[in-house]
Amino acid sequence: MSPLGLSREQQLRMYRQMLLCRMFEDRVNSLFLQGRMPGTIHQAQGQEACAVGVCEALEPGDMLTSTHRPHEHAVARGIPVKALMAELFAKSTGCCRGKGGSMHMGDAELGMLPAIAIVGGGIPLAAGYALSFKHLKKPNVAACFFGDGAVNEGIFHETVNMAAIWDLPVLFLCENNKYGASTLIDAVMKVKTVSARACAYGIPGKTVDGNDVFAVYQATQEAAERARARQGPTLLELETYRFAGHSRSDPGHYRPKEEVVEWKKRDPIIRFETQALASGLLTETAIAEYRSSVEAELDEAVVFAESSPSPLAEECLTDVYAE
Amino acid sequence: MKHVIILPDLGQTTSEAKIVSWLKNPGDKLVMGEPLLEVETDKATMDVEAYIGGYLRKQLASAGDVVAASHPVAILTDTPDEEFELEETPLRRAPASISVPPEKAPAAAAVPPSGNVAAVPAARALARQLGIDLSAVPGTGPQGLISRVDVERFAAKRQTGGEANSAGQENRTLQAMAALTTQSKSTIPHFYVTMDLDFSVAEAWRSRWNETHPELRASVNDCIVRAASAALADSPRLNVRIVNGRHQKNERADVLLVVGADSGLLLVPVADPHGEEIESYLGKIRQALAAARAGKILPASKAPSPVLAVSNLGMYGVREFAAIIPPGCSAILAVGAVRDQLVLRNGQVETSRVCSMTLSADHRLVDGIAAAKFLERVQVHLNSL
Repeated sequence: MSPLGLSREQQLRMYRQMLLCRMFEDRVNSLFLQGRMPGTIHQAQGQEACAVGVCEALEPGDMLTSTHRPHEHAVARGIPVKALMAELFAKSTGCCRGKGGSMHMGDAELGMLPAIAIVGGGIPLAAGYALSFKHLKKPNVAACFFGDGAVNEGIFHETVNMAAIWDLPVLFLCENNKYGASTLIDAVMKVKTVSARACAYGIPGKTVDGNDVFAVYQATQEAAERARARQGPTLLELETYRFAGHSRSDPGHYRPKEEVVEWKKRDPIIRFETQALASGLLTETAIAEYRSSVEAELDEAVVFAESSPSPLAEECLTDVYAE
Repeated sequence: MKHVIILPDLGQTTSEAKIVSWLKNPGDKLVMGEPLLEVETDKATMDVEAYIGGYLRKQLASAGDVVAASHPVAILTDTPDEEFELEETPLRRAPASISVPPEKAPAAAAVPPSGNVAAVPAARALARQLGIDLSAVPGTGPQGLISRVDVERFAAKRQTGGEANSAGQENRTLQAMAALTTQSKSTIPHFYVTMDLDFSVAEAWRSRWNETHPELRASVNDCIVRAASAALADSPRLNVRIVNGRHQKNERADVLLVVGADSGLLLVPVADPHGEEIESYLGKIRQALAAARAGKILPASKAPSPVLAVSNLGMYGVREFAAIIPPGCSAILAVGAVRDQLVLRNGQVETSRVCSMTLSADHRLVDGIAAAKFLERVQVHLNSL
């Protein structure tokens, strides 16, 4: 089932990472409904193959930037779920010491800059990292996730153009989930695909099935190899779908019910399981074991988060400005 | 085992939602993630899902109710018939990082802690800021839900109570003034309309009255408050307030007096100053002022809730000024000194007694024409005291 020469361990790790992403989001939703978790949240259920396929192709020294929907990116990048859960509970043990919250998940030391909630805000930062990698002659790449809503922001055009003329090692990764908040992409973009825009910058562009973790991995791997070889950036469009609304306050009524049903049939996790059961990579028992082990990991993360201390009032300005 | 379903914080600009309908009836079985009820937020109508499976045993709110976020709305149990306690389960919420210890209001001895009181988060935040125990605040929303305006009104009334002139009272009064004015000036879109009013007729009336009633003299302020109240009764477009986001007409024409005291500014509500004979009005306003200065609180049921405030700096020789609207009011009338002025009438120079008044009004409720017409009506009533 994997034409990419991925080892069995690698494939199973990707599966568990996708499960961890999904079940993390489901747990967060449950905590929110119970009133145990403060704040609003943007959830990414359905987009796991994008997060995991990309992160599997990144190396430890690479840098990832993210969006207002960063939970799965952070989980997939390998930031401990304890630190992520604690951040959502605004606790001092969180990845941003409780001062960032849902929309600033990340840990630069672990290869993911805390996410930027401003639409398109992470794109130029990735190019900046790429520029530094180039100058410092490091073999690393910078990758940035952004949504389809960001591709009509000026910063997208400016950054991709600049990264292209300087051959910067950046991977521009558009998670096209069809809706910028409630706006259908067809209503705001004349070309049929985001990847078609790549030719305007003279860089490769490709549209990928964003619900197929191996397809995402392969495309990212190719783009990363190209970047590491100093051949410049690539624009990848990962076609995917968020199962929930834009945020917890959005029921998503603007989407036809049939469309949601259709995309749920393409659930990246169920697709993986179906294929893996057929190929013998997974058994029903193994699936149940994976799920209960992820459940236990999340239980532990919630206990850790809820029992962690809140940040102290006198620390409210530390970690806010560079010193 | 019992599971309490709460209203999640779904709003974008408010933290409450209206229950549109129940999708399950008591006794129904639900699986985790199944929609339980439909609610309407400021932005959309959406479903609230059960975070756990079980049997719906009790609906704690009805269709049409407005419920604050985090407030319990339903009770589920694991089995269909098990016994369960109905009393409210304390909500497990992440504590605010910085919290001010709440001060207990004097009247709140045997009441539950604020956590169990139904209040919108904005009201909780303001109460925390002002050191008010929410359980002492009367809520005017559905099922006694406490809104921010309720807390503001409570804070304004509380200023008239407590140990007058003690350091604590002074501190609290100053704190309340700081909080209320900051909040008012940053949330209410103020605009200002100034008019010179002829005080000659009113002054003549006042001299006659004071000659015949030396024991119950009328001050300039007494005249203005009575005329302002009568003008308010004539101005339905001004006599409104915002309750739960809706305009609500006010029944009476109560007036809130802004009074200087040693401990700071006092807000003294006076019920319907124009609605009775002049003697009883003068008696009542004296009583209200004396009680406020002595730090006595009016019984809550009898306390008026004015939409118009009056502030007077005329006794200090101020010509005119613009005042900040106290929260809960729609306008405040700022009164300057009654002064001699030369006026040109039919080519003749005459002396006149003039008082400049500036109405600060809330432009969400009142427009300039309504404000100007109100000032005209004040003039009419000053001329017919």
